[in-house]
Amino acid sequence: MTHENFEALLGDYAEGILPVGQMRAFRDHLTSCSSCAALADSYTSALADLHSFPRIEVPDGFKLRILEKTTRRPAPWETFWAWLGLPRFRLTPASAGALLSMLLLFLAGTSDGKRVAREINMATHQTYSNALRLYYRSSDLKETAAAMGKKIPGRLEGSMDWIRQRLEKQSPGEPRPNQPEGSQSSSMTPEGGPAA
Amino acid sequence: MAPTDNELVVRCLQRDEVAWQLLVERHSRRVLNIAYQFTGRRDEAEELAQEVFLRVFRSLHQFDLTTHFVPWLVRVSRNLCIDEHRSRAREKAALVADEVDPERTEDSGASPYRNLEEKELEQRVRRGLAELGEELRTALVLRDLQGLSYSEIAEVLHLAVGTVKSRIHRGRLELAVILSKSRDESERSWRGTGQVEQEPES
Repeated sequence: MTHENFEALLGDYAEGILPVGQMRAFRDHLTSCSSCAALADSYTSALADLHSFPRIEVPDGFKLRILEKTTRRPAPWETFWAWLGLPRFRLTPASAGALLSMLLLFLAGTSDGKRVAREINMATHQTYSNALRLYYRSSDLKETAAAMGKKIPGRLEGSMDWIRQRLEKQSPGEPRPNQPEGSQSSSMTPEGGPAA
Repeated sequence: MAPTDNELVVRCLQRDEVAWQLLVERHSRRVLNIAYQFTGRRDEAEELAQEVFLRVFRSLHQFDLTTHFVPWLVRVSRNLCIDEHRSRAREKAALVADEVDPERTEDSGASPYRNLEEKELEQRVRRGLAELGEELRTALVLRDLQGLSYSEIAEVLHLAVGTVKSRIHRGRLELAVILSKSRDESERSWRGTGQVEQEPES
């Protein structure tokens, strides 16, 4: 057997599919030719390296995610949207705001709608101003407490309760809490927490 | 007797969800590993494999039922992986990347020494494959990493079986030389390091 013949049969030998008739001649050459033996050695070890190349296993939930992605039934509105031939979209806060504004404008154009739109508008303003008041009150109260050497409770729930109680107690005509008053200090516990 | 892939495809086209589940079950490991060979990272491979299945699901009606499913699936997977990575250069880059997926080594449960061995083997094989020409590398990857038969590879690459066999054989011969050299080099450098460490004692 020549070196060329040996090299041509090497693949089948390494895969274990060399016909029995050629095996004897191949082995004879393998034992008698050191260069071909070295080639066979490096060939089989390269093949072993390739076969032991790490493969990743299918993780848990992978197939489910594929099935969810491929066979999920679309919602009726998605079907209608697709039927219209419109592209899919995601509702971002900006687009949600734009949609709401359009709805309000539409409502404002009808007689009943005007009333509804006014009420929605007032409710929005009320919520906004309450939120602002709460925000500024909390910073004012913090300053007052700091001026008096007291601490506002660290936990959010405690702080909110405390602020809420202060707001309920305080009438609209009362001075702002950044002006220290005796009554304010009496409502604080020594630890700085809300009065029981 | 289990239904063949082509029978499952026919059932899928008749909106049989169970048939699609069986197809996904059978081929998810193969598709996942094809994607992994392109990305070199498990998380990216998972995402890419999901995209592959989505594309396969949408283009099942294009599958020619007179051919075999696996070569078609591999072709679709490879094409999408190439599209996603914009160019084959990325595949080569992923092959030579030194970075080994941290998730794989973390959850393997093997000893640190075993992990190190696996990491070295992976890097050596990746570098070796990257040194091959594209034709030889593709044939070799399909055969020895993705486990396709010669006739399946011939279908994927639209080549004669004889050409495929010849490319794989040449690829292995070239890779054997490359890996043998790199093994010798790493052994030499390991011995060199050992001598340096022993010097202070002597």
